[in-house]
Amino acid sequence: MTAPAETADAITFDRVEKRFPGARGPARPVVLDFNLVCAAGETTALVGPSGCGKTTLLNLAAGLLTPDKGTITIGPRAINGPGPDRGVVFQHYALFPWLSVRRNCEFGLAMVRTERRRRRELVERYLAMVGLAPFAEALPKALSGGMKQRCALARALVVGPRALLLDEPFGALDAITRRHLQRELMAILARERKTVLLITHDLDEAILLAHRVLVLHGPPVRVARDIAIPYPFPRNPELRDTPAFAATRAELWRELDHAAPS
Amino acid sequence: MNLSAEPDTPPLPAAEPRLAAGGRYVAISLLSVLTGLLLWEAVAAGLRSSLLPTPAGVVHAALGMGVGVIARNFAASLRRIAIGYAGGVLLAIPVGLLVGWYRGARLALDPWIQFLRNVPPLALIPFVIVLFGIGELPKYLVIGLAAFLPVTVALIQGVIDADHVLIDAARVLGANQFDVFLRVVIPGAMPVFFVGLRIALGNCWGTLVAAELIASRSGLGYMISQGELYFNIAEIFIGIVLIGLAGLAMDRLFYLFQQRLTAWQERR
Ligand SMILES: Nc1ncnc2c1ncn2[C@@H]1O[C@H](COP(=O)(O)OP(=O)(O)OP(=O)(O)O)[C@@H](O)[C@H]1O
Ligand SMILES: [Mg+2]
Repeated sequence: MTAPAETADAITFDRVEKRFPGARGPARPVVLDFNLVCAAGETTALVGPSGCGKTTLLNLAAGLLTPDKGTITIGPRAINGPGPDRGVVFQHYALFPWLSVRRNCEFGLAMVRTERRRRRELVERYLAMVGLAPFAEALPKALSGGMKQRCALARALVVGPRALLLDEPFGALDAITRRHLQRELMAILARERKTVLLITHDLDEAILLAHRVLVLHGPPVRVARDIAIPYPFPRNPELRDTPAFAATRAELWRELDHAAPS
Repeated sequence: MNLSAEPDTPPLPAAEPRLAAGGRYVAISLLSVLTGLLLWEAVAAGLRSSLLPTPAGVVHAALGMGVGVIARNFAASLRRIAIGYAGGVLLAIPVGLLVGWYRGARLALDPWIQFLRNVPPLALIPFVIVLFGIGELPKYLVIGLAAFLPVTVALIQGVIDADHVLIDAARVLGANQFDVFLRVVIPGAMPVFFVGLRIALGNCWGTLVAAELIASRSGLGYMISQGELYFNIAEIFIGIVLIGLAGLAMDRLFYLFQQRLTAWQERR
C-alpha cells in the first residue's frame, strides 16, 4: 500500500544548552550540556517527572526552540527551525478549529505546494488509515478526543516526515481509545520506519512502543536511566502481562520514584 | 484499511431541531412585539395626550407626510451609514491587523487609538462641522470614525490573542510567517472581529442621528429635529421607529453572517 519507507535519520543532541529567563534572577538552565542520540528508525520513549524538561527537548528537536549552545542534528543536517522532515503531535491536539478534518490534514501539503490532486489522494489514504474517512468534512468541534488525536496524527504523517515527535500523544485519552491508537501507531511505524521521540507518562505505553526507554531527571534534564526494550516488532499488546514486561515496568518505577519533583 | 475499532458513524444532521428552535424564537419575538404595540395603543388611547400618539396615529401621520418624503430621509441616512461604515471598516482591517501583528506599530499607534477610543465621535461633530461645513463629508468622517475604532480595537486584540499552540502547529507543518498570519492569526481573529463589527454598527447609528440632529437638511435625525421644531410628535416617532428597525435589521443580518463564518467555534 505505501511506498517503501524513506531511510530514517538519527536525531542527535550535541552539548545542548537551553535556559529560560526566571521570574527574577539569572536564567535557569533547563537543558545543560545534554547529549543524546536517537537511533535512526527507532522509537525512543522519554519518561520523567513533570517539569523535568521533556517538552523542552522535544521543542528543541522540532525547531520551535533554539538552543543557547550546542547543536541538534537530524541525519547530516543541523536543525535551525521547524521543517516538514519532522512531524509533531502536540499534547492537546492543536487542530485548527476552523478547518475540517480534511483541510487540517491538507495544511502541511499546502505549505509545501503539493499539487491538488496528489494532496487529496494522500489525505484520503491517511484518513482511511486512522479511520477518520467518514469524518473528512467534519469540524474538530464535532470530534471526540480520540478522533481529534487521530486527526492530529494523520495531519503529521501525511507530509511524510522522516521523524515523529510525539508529546504525550495519547495522554488525554481513556484507556480503551489509547490502546486502539497505540496499535494504530505501531502498525503505521511497521509500514513506514521513522525515527520517533515519544514523551509519555504511561510506562506500559513506553515499553510497548519503544526500542529504548529513557528515564529523565531534572531540571536541568539528564538521562538517569537508559533501558533497551528487546522485544521484536510488531509487538503484541498481551506482552504487558508477561513477567519480563512487569520487571521492566518495576525497574522504571524505581527510577522514577527516586526523582520525585523537588 | 481501517485500523480503528471505534464504531464511527457520520454525525447526524442537526438541522431539524435548530429550525424548530428558530421557529419558536420568531413566534415568541412576534408575539412580544404585538403585545408591546397593543399596550402602547391602549396607554396612548387612555391618556389622550398630544404628547403620546397611538401607533395608528403614527402610521396616519406618516401617510400624511407622504411616503416619498420619509423614504428620501431614510435613504439619506442609509447612504451615510453605508459609506461611513464601509470606509471605517475597510480602514480598520489593515490597521487592526498590522498594529496587532507588529509590536513596533502597536507601541507607536496604541496611545493614539486608546485616546481616540475615549473620545465619543459625537464630541468631534462640532469640530468637523467647523472644518467642513454641514455637507456630507463631515458626516462620513464621524461615522467612519465611529466604525473604525471598535473594529480596530477588536482586531488588535484578536491578533494579539492568537493561539500560540496553533501557531506552533502551523510552523511545524512548514508555514512561514506570512502563512501563519494568513491561515492562523486571521481566522482566529474572526469571532472578535465580528463582535467589533456589530458594536461599530450600533455606534454608527448613534453618531449618524446626532450629526443629523445638529447639522443636516435630510435624514431621519433631521426628520426628528423637524418634528421637534413644529411640535409634530408623530414625526418624531416615525424617525425613532425607522432608526430602530433599520438598526435591528442590519444587526440581524450581521448575526447571520457571523453564525456562518464562525460556525467552527465551540458554542454552548
Ligand atoms: N517558556 C518557558 N519560560 C520559562 N520557563 C519554562 C518555559 N518552558 C518551560 N519552562 C521550565 O522548564 C522546565 C521544563 O519544562 P518542560 O515543559 O520541558 O517540562 P516537561 O518535562 O515537559 O513537564 P510535563 O511532564 O509536566 O509536561 C519547567 O521547570 C518549566 O518551568
Ligand atoms: Mg511537557
